[in-house]
Amino acid sequence: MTRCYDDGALRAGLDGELTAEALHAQQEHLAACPECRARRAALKALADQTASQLRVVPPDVPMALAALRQRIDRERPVPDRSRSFHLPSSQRSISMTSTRIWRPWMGWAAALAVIIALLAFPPVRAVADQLLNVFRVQNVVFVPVTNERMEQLRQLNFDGETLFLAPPKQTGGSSEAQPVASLSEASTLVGFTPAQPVLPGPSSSAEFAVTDRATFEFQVNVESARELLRLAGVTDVTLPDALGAAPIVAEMSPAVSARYAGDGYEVMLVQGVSPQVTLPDGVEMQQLGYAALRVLGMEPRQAATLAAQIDWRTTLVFPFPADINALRQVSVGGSPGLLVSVDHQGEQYQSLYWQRGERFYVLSGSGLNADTFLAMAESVR
Amino acid sequence: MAEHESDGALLERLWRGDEAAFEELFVRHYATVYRVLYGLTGKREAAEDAAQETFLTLYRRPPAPNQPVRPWLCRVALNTARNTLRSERRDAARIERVAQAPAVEDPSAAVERIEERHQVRAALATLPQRQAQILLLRHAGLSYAEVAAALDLAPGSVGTLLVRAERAFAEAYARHRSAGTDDQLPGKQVQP
Repeated sequence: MTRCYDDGALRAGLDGELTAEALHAQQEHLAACPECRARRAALKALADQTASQLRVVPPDVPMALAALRQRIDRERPVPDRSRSFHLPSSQRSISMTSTRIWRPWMGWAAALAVIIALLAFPPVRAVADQLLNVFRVQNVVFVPVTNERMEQLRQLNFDGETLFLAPPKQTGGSSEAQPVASLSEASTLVGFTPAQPVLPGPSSSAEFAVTDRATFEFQVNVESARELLRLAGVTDVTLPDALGAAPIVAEMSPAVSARYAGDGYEVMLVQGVSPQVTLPDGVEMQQLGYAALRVLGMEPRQAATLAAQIDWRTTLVFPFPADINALRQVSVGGSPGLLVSVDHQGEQYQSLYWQRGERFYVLSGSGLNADTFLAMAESVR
Repeated sequence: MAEHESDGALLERLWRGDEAAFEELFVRHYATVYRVLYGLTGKREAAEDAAQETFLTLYRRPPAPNQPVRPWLCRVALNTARNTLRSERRDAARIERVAQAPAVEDPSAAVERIEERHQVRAALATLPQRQAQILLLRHAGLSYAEVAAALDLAPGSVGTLLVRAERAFAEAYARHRSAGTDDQLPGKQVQP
């Protein structure tokens, strides 16, 4: 007779966790071994008894899903039409993330994806002669867009998805957030010292997470981009074929998210180094920037002046609807920032994006008034 | 074709912002996560709250598409429950809804069920954390490979550890049953 089986192997047999071959061998042994048969029967009785003691009335799954949906909607304070806030022409890459952008608890991934989405749009870099079209944001220019122009663009019914040949794809690195115990632990992983905000009150919980570097690629459909310009009435610019000749590559640097909760407030701060974006060779950025400013409704002369002034290699152009009260430009420690404040069902939600040198910050929170919130952003040094 | 789509494919869609993919994952795995959490907390509301937090984490920070979803969800659930229980303990007197017991039972049977639940909870609470977790994950329907992935165990050791955990649980349960009501305080809970 073969050797007797231990309890673990017998239990694995009961649980259907053995290969057909192993199960067959076990059954042959059991047929010949009353001792193992008895142990197996005892294990089965024990398993059945435990299962009965641990049984649970099944949950109402549709109800639970509805409750979660409600919560997600509740915590997504800006209504959908706020999508017009983004460049309509890069709708596809933004709509991936737009449902997540203004949630008070914007995930790190969403925050970074927004930045990528914005950077993916042409007006991001210049210096045509560089062999390598690499840029990294160090400045932000907020370009107000009139409501009227937003409406016009919306009415073009342009399918933003067609601007890219395929959805952005991740080609390297990891994009999973790793929880860490403290900011100092985060610091050793990301290679910079994350700033610690001064909280508006004692915090009862603090959670930290780090995201590793990751690389994304997406390729522009030039024909579609030209179509957009035609529809938007911008006829004084020709987009070069080079724009779609090779993928745009965005390399995300590590980022740190910290979430604090205290009496009556919750805040989350995401901070990281701006992604490094590589564009196809032979793309004249100033011209693309000019085109983008024109799409946003700027007059030709003004657009030409601004396009010439901006250092596209390091500047992110961030359009925003000029006449939406929930949005306003602020200064955070001398750097320009964009503050989104929303009052939803009596609760105040805010989100603030700003950039200092190569570092970007996104602070989101609830339960704080705008002044306290801005003071907290100021404390991030 | 949605029902044949793998978790990994759904995760990829979720990464692209596809809300329908999230709902599919929710419907697929909610009951499992709930069972683990109910086992840990012994309370329906607490389990529902922690399950909601768990799926919110999936929605906002999904794992990489190549990562098995169920073990990942269970790991998040165990962490979430740890935090929930911390605050729940302050509110130890919260009474479980009687509605939890099947409606056809007569009142004395319902009371018995509730008492049994408390004894189960008390017995689980005396087990080493890892043993309680193995028990709950396996009895929530996870395969050995999934239990191993969720708890960082060698897959080959799960059967043996499971038997050991069930024996320890049976002994603890018997002890609590004979010890009477002192150990049946509803506030006593399992450490996830």
